[in-house]
Amino acid sequence: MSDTLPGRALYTLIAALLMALLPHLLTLPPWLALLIVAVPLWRASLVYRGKTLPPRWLRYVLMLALLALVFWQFRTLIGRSGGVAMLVSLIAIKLLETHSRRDAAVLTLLGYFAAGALFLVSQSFWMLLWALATAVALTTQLMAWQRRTDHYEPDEAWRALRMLAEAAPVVILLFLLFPRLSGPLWSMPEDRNGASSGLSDVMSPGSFTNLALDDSPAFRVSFDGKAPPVSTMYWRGPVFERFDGRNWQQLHDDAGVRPTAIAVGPTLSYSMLMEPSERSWLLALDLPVRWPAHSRLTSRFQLVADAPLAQRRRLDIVSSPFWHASEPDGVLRRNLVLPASGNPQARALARQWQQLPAAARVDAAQQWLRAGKFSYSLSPPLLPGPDPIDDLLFTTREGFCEHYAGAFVFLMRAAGVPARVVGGYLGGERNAGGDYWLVRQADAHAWTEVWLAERGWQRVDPTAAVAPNRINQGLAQSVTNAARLPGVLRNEAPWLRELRQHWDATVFQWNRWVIGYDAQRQMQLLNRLGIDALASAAFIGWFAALVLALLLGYGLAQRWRNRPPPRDAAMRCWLRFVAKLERAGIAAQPGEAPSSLAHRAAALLPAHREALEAIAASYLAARYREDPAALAELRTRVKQLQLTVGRAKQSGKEQ
Amino acid sequence: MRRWFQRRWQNALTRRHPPAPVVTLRHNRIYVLPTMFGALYAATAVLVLIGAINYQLSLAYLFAFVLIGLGHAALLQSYRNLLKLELHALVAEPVFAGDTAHFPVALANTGKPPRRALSVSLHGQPASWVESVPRDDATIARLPVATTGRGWLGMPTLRIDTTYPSGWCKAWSYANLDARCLVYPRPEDDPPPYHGQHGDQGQRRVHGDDDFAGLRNYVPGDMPRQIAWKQFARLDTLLVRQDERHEGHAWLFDWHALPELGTEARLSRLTAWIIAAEANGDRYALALPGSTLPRGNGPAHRHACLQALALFDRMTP
Repeated sequence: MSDTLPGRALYTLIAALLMALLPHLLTLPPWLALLIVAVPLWRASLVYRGKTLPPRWLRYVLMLALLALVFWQFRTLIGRSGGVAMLVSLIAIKLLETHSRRDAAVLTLLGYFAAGALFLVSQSFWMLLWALATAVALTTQLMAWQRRTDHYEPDEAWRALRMLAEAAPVVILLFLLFPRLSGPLWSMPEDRNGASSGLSDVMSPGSFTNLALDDSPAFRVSFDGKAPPVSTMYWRGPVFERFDGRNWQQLHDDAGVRPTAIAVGPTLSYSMLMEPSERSWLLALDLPVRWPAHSRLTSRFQLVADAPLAQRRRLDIVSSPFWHASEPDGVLRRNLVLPASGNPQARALARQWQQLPAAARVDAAQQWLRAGKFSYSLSPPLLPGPDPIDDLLFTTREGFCEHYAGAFVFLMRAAGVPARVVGGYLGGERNAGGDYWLVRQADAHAWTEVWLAERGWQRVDPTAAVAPNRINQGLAQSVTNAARLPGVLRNEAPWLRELRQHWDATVFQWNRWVIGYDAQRQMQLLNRLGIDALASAAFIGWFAALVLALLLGYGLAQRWRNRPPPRDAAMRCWLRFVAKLERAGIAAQPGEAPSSLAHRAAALLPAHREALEAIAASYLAARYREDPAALAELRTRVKQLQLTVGRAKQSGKEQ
Repeated sequence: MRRWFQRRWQNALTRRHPPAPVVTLRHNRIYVLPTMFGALYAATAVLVLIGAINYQLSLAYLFAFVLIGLGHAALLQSYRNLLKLELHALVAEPVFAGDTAHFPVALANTGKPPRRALSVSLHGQPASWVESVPRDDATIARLPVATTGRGWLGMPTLRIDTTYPSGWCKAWSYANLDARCLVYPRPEDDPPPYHGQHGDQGQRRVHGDDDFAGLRNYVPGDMPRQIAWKQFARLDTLLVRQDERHEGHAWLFDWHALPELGTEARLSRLTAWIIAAEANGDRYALALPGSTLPRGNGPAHRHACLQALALFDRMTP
């Protein structure tokens, strides 16, 4: 009955807590993680050696020291990483002063909380499994100290697993129907330690070449209805307008007047699942006409989110492939600006086309590229000279998409056509099983837009002129040195490709339906059930019906489990007989054998002795020998039995 | 007022849980409520949920719901830890008034999972701890009740509690078991010796004559009239008839011989004498108004005498 915690219960508590802490510890600097892990292990060794706890002052000093180290590392004790580090150190320190069941209770709750915070580290399927395993371990160790005994019970882990299984209906119901809010409750100090991956905000020679080697997914897309041809899937990212002779940069200011765009013709609706990129760019197809909340369309027709994508995010977008824009003159003038000097050969080339109409100048430049025997390479020679575009176009003739896009815009501007570079992704890999498109970082691409007065912005992809296969068949078929690409991007064995696609489809569905289940998806699901708002009558009706169905199901299952053994015909006859006896004042005792009941009744009702004994005998024969003749006899005998009530009642009282 | 409420409550419980020798805890007899620890656990789940909302983490939502679901499952588990547990009242050993009576109750588990961590108590009495009732097995709990007066002591309402497996919920139930314990009168603390010099102290020495108990070998000094002459004629050995008088004495403890004491004091003294006489191996008879128990000794006789004293002037419940 004592309040102290048994040793073994403490070991399991420490083990379960370490499970909850492990993924957090892996995100901390190694020295801090080791320091924090040392504390629970020290505590376990103290128990093992039967030593007492360290003195109170030492514990406080340790706690302050650890918190100071955390603060020194993170410069904060709240927010994401600082808060998690503080939680982790508090759990470790609390273990040092745990000796009663009360302390263990507090620690267990902290453990559940730390397990919940694991999803700040990652939202992968494996992390969910790990968190569930942690919850099972924490629940298992709770049982040990409810027992107040110091030994392990192997069935308790199974009991905890069973509890998890029993929790499943509640979890599914709440997960689907609990109202999702679409924004944070309050904003925490965000930490920008995540390095961005994928597209960069400056286009310099080599920035896309590096990405071509990265096979990690950038986003996945599933189209409602038919997907457009892969050669038109230009996922629009940042627009580069300022050229300094080497690098292309974005301009963030509006030229006072926003462009107007008119979408015409059919639209495409699709849903994207963006991987976290630490950037706010949402890669939409031209031209987005409907987009999710907390995002906007820039004056360069790029869709951006209000905040960088720190988590995987799902977006539902509608785009119109056919559109027409009118652009203020200021913007067009800026799209003609070139550095004052440099690249004389390219300028001279462009000057030759200046007499042609604008559209013909664009065609002429494409024609020139197509005829020029340019090659599309993952490892083009570096262009360190002062005139990199001249070197590319007239000397090395070897480059990647960013080289050709930059050079093409240079030529166009020199020829007097407003032009700009657009970064983003091109195409994707279709996953037939999952019916979606996977776009990898390696699909990053740069193309150009030229302004034609009568037609507005026109997409021109100079890479198509250099390596037409890139547009239709992807990277591996178009570059000259495909062997440098990662395995998944090259041509691989069909079975391996299938296996990989299956796995990716699973991950996609997981991300789409579980991770990406948000206010919008919830609304879609509810709409399908005929509910148009949370807290509407229909919603409450559905919710109540589901809860009732669950309770009813549980009740029926219990009743089925507790059902009385099936009664056969003989048993029913016998029960009628027992009821008759009862009316005559002779109650059957619990557990009384049929023959002894008949004997007892016969002693009280001597007139019916023969009938009573015959009934007992035929019942036994009918029930246990399954003798049909005996059953028939039992029936008639019970039917004919007429007992005189008054007399038996008096003698029955003796019992 | 408070006592009145308590009595009403006990009566209500008795009506809801009618007495029976075997009680099976059924679903409508089991009550479950969250504990303080359970409330804190719920607060933890809500904290995880708030974090999930704030950081827009779908899986953290899921985990918060897992915590809520686990809490719900724990409630069912605590409930099932009691469900269909059978309580059998066994025979309680008689005790003296003022001592603690122990009602043995067998907890039988006919179900599959073992029942664990049960706390069983009788109304207003300290609880007994039952660590485990394995599958298809029974564990006996001896439930203490402090006694005050003599007579039949009915078993108070039994309460069985459990917080297993999680400690978040407490499930409990009541049972009225049809069992009673005989409480002998309290023996007088320092009674005058029953074999005192005074013949009028309520005990009378009774001469035994035909209390033939057995034969033993003759030793010099035995009186001739004790020698078993018939056996000597047959066996040619001198044997001596041994009767009770020689091993101990026979006494009559008489209620009527103690007129100076009150009823309970007389019963206490007679009780003390019976205990002492039994300890000395003496034979004794008991005379009470309206009944007399013949001479004898041994545990059964002692019990019969003490029972007569315990139930003297009491209606049998």
